[in-house]
Amino acid sequence: MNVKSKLRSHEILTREQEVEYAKKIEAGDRRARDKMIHANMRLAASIAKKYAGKGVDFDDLMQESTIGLMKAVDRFDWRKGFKFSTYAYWWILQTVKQYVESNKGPISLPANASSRLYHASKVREDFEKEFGAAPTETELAELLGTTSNTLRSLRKSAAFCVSLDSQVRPGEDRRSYKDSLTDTSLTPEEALEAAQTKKLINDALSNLSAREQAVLRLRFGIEL
Amino acid sequence: MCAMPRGHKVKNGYASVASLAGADDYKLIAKKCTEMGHKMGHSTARNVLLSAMMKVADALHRSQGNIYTNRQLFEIARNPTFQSGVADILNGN
Repeated sequence: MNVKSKLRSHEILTREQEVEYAKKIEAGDRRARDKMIHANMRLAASIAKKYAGKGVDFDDLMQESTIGLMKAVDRFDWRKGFKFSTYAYWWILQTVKQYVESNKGPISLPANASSRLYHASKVREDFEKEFGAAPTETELAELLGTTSNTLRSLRKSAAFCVSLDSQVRPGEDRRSYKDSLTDTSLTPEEALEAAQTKKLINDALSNLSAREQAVLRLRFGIEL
Repeated sequence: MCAMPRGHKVKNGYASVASLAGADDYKLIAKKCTEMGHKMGHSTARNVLLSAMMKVADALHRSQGNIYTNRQLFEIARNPTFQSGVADILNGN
């Protein structure tokens, strides 16, 4: 039996059944709890599906949304009169979102770091709208009540990493990112010219007085 | 104290030692040189540096077949771009 048919094998509960099971769960009935979870797995799957392809494995997403569903089942208060799915939706969504935010990059970020980064991008947008220019790093840090160093490390940690060997356009182009890098090393002619200039300067320096050499060395922080 | 002429910094900038590891300012250079036996103040340190840079500039331009006047060499020697270029080459960057 595949996952889809497994999910479909559990019937969706009516509102009356939900209340009945919720009462049993309150009384400590484990079977009722399992039944409630199974009956709402389709909801968990539909939310997990929305976040598929965002850099995390679907199976992990499914697991996280199930955890969210379990939290909802344990906290559901039938006396308030809401349908269970209305209540569970937010629990599942929060758990899945938090998981995606923390695991989409190579570095796992704590949940508060992700929300701070999101807040930073909102503040930047608002600033640009109001003043017509992007805020400086220091201004942004001040607005967020943090230091520019912290902000920089947050951004660095959340940066998206790409392997140099991976293809620029998978399927379409065989070129890798490594192929598109510019070679910044000197050409033989440039290297020769640089060596000649250095020799010329060194010759000129050797003709300087001891006093001039000392000042130059100290000014440029070099050993002559 | 005489104010810097308007637009001077914009046009020429200042050669900064901030980005050079182990580099000193003129006051510190004067102090260290005095300790080494070359007695001088900070303005003398600056003048000595300029004179050394003029010699370097002269040697470089002569190698290209160009001969400049002292005034022109002075302008080249005090140019922060020239100074940092020489520093970069000597530092092997």
